Amino acid sequence: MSLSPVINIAGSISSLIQVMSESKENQRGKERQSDPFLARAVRRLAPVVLAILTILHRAFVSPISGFFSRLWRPVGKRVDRHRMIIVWAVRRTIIAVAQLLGILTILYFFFDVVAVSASTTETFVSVTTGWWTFLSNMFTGQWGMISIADVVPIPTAQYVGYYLPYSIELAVLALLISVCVAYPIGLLSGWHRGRYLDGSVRGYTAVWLFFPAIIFGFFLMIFLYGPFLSYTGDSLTSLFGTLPSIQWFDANGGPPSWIGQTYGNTTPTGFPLIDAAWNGSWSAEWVIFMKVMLEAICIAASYVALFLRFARNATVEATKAEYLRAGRARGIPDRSLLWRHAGRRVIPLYIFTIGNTFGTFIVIQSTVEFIFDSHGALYLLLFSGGSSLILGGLQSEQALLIVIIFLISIVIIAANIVAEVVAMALDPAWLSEKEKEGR
Amino acid sequence: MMGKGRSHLVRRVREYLHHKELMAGTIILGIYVLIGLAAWAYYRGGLSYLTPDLGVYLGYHNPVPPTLTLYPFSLGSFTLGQTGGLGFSVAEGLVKGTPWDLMLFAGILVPTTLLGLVVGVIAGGSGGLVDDALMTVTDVVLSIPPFVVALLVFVVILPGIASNEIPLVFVASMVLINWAPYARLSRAKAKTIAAKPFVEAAAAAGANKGRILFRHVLPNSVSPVLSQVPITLSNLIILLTVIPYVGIVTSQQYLHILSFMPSTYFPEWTWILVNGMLGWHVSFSSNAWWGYVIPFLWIFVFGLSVLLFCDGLEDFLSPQSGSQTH
Repeated sequence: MSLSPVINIAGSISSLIQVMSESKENQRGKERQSDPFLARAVRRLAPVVLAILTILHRAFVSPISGFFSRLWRPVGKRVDRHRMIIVWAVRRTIIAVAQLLGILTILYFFFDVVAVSASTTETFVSVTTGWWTFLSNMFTGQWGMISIADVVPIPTAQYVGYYLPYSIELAVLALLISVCVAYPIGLLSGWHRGRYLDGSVRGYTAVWLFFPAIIFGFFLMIFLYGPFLSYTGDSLTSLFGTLPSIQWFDANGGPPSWIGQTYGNTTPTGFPLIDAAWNGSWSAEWVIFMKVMLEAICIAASYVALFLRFARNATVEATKAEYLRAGRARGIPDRSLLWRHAGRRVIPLYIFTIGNTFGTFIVIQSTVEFIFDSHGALYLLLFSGGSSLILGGLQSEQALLIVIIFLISIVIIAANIVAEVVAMALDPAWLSEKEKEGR
Repeated sequence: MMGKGRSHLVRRVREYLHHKELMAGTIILGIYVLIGLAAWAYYRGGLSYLTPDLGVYLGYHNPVPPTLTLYPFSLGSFTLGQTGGLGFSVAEGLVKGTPWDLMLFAGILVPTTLLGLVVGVIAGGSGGLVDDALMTVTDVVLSIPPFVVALLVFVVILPGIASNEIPLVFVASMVLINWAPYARLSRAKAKTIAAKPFVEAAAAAGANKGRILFRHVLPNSVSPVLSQVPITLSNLIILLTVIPYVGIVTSQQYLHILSFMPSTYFPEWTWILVNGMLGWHVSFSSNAWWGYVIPFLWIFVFGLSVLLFCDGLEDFLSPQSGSQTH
């Protein structure tokens, strides 16, 4: 009985397959004749290997495959629910197109009918040439040229493209932080209702309602970001809001080639965090990361309060479900009831809430990007809005405002639909509720 | 009958007085209202204009810090506008702004709540085609982010109208933007109320549809709507802070058009807050903390008092109001 402590799993699996493929008698005969030791080892190790494989499968493969199989083939009346979800998604998409048309019409009304003083220029989004032209221009991406700060005009789509990656990067980080904080805290406060944690969550959501992100960001900037800026040599009004400024690089021999000189865009991907690492500029990477994290924390602090305000009641409802009481009566420990059963039940509710509050998330992010002077597309929303505030602004900035609002509307509506459909696929009870509601 | 009604009223008043959340909100809100009334009675004609403090012009680099001694008591002063502008006292600005801000918030929140409530009750109470039509309109309004529409109002509408009409147009546009969530909430409640036996009894007794909706369904649908009021107030404060801040930073101009106000030296809480913030923004070294900390706390406490009042009232008006357990 000498089992080697070092097990070559691949070898075992291949020999296991070999063994399994042969008939039993043959196998026995062969083993005795050729290599009895290896055969015995394989026979003894087979259950161990199978157990390891099962554990690995349970841990890594089945959650993912289970998620997708539930997504596309919900349990129960499979075909019916599948079809109902698709019908629902299609219906929502049609409504979304109508909503988008409505928003564009409002934009057209605002900028064409209300702002009568606006003069026509061919280079920008032609609001003044008629509703139909405006709509088709918006949907076909003919957003005209843009010239801000006396530089050579470039296509608006390209201009927005320079600023978009930063916003995406920041939104992903902020949402990740928010989810990592809000999920356990929301679940625990709903579970221990009326206790200390629940009370503090209620207090937090109440306080943060009147402590908006712009003020919190301002305080963060005073206490952390101001000293940080003076350390890195950046300035609040520089073009390189995100990046280490030109002055910062001057000390190290001039700005590098991977930062665009005019628009502050980075190459090759456009995402500053990735590009700095790609080009091996680790000091720049550190500065960018610090700033993005600071902004993400600022956004998350506001968004978590908003999210918990919406999600708390849903969590309380979910934790009052009958089957949890039945599970407790059967002796399932509270911890597994909370994290496995209730924890899974609230996931669709939370996804739905994220979709529902995504518009507010974008508003929070735009104020934070503005107060930190970031290089993001949502900074452009407030920048173009603010520039347009004075005497109707320039045509170029108004056109930029229209384009950014159009893009934001698409993102918000898409987030709504995706969140609703995913929540429904995960929890078919939602669908029947919606059917009952009749809308 | 009379005696029973009176004892019920006395019981309700006693419940009100013993409701901690509601009483805290009422007292703080009452203090704000008293300050507003006192400012209105004291300043009269000068209420709509910030008078220069100490009779001197202050730059950003020489704001006067607060003196917290008994006399002379001051919350500090700083410049409104860019360097060399009008210097004014923080305390005076906040006190003078109180009646205007209370009127502004009440003027937006009350009509918004009423409009949403009426639309929701009509939709939920009548059902059928009316419900579908009203809720479709509500859904369309809900799908548009209020902040973006408000930005458009500031960019396109407000610059084009006379300065004394700006506050009215601003209030009207805010009401039109914000009523939809109230309709959603009150519709859900009205639907459950309309299915209750006492509504059927009223219909059987011969009450017409309008009477049922507005005498029986509406008073019972008020409570869920109140939870939305602080959220709208919060959005309003965010809007009134962000727009002037963004406008001044991008345009480098101090114009009344950046807020809803009729003139640049009009006392308004968020305008004072933003000016305090920008004093820091212009140069890091002139850190006049009283320019933003004190106005922020002033607005923050007001917001919390409204939150306490609305949450308490919601609890007080709901049927099981005796218990304060959460």
